[in-house]
Amino acid sequence: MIRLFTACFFSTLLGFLALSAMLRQVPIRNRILFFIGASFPAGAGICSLILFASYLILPSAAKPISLVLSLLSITVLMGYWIYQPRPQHPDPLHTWIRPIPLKDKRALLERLPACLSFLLFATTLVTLLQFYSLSASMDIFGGGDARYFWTLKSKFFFRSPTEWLGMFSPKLFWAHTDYPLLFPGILAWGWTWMGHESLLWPPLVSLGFYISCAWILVWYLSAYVSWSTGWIGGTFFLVLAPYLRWSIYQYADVPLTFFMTACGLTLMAALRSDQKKIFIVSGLLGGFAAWTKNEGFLFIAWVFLLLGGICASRYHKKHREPFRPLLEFSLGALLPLLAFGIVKFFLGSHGNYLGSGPTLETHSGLLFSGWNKTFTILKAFYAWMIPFEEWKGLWGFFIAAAVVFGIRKEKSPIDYAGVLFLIVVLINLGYILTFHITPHNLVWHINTSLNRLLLHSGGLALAFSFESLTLTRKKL
Amino acid sequence: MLYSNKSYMPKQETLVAQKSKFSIPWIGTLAFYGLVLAIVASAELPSLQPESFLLRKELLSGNEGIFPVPGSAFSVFKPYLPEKGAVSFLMDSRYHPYAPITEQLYTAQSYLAPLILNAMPVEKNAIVYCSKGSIAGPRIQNAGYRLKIALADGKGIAEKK
Repeated sequence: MIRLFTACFFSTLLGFLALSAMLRQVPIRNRILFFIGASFPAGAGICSLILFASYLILPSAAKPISLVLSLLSITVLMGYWIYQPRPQHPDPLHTWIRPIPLKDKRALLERLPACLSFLLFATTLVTLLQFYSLSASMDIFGGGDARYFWTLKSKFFFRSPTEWLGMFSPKLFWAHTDYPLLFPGILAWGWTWMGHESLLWPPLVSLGFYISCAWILVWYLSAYVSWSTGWIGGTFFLVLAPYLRWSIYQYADVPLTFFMTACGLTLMAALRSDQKKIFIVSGLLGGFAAWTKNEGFLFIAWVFLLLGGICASRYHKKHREPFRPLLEFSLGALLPLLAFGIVKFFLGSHGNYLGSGPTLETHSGLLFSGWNKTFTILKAFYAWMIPFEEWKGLWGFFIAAAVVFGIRKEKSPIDYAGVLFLIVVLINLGYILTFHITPHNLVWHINTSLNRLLLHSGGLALAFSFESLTLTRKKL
Repeated sequence: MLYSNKSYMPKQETLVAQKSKFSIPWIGTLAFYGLVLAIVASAELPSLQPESFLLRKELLSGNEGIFPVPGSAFSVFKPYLPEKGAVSFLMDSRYHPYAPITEQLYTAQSYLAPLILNAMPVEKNAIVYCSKGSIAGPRIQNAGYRLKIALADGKGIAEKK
């Protein structure tokens, strides 16, 4: 258990120190909440990159190299963290930490909703942790994809480092050999740290990503709307059944949801504050989305497109350094995208989609092959978004929020809330297009994947909904 | 370490507040949160099986051995298989991505990795994992193999003719 604890602690510490170094002197709002939400996933992403690099450098000694590099990174970043100069502009401490004079009844009353909503969030979180631990014990090896794809790749890493390239063998054509390796990488890193294939590590990693999704939503909504909205938004996320279910099954879709959500929300923070280091962090998190699943690459392509449009608009408005955000975002995404490119084009070039075999001509022919397929796909989206027991009306809130956003009078040029809406729409548009070119049976493909695909944009849809439908107070 | 909120305030830090209470936005927001809280309050968790409490206790006490590893049925093949490389895998029927029987291949691969199991009958050696001998015989024959080691009814190691 102590090894399990240290694996969890050191990966989180690495993420915290790396983010802390990147956000040095940056007045990011509700800083502590951001670190609570982003440290573990960022650490997991960095650990997986370190592990992957170690296997590329020297497979026979990859395990010790990965551990030494991880410890070295922690030591260097720790030194940087300890000796860094004090912030010139210390960020404000949280309002709920600052003492309130007990005689000030009005102030106390104003804090009451935030305190009550925090209690609701905390109660829900504790209840879910209890439920998760019991459910995960019943299904310790996770669902089908976890057992046969994600953990399988981790086993190739861990069991025989010199044979690790076997995971990309075309003979395993059914095992998504071209899929990126963040999730298998962090599983194998933890096993390497502990020295054995711990059964507890995969569900713990999955839980870490799930809880982090809730915390990152709390961070964003509390920073840009209000504390009450933050805690209630986080609570609403926790009661959404699909996220809980797929995290218990240990699928990589929940980690992908985290990275997409975190990338989108930090992008909003970066656009609103124009802080270049937040663009870099957003790029890193977006890059990790691509390093988690192919869908993440599609996501970051959409974000590049949107950011490119925003930068072009800045250029037309004669903004100073109009394309700087795009460059900084790209810089942050560089390493994960490099790892993604190595897997996609050099190691696992046997996939189903573009970049792994079929040509653009093949796909364009499938894309425009009649309206029947399009209607089937759209009907499927509608059918999978509607069930209340699954989504608790999230997609209804999203549509209502879009309407409110469209008709509301006070709009600010620094608001950028439309970017969140566009990202959600584009993510799902990408999936609609992907279903058109699927090499599988369409109905089978929809039935086995659509529920999970909807997870990816759900976090951002929730943030947009809560931000737009909270009409009374809005911090910009 | 206590900093005042006034010590740092970015340019954009403005508050767009509603002018008066009891306006349409105020009521709309209240209705939205009322709805969300009602949804949260009515949310239910799926039921749990009673043995989950015992399993969690064992897991947290480090007793991982009580969890049967998926694919451990394939451990009988291990002494006859190479540690690395590839072998073919013969089941009751040919590989088909949508056939439930394919899960046998996935489970075996997960257990025997880093040995690669090829779903196509092209490797020098093959694991035969059929439900009975009467199915295994024709499958081995049609795939161009002959049975080298019989381990159970319909199960064994075959080699290419």
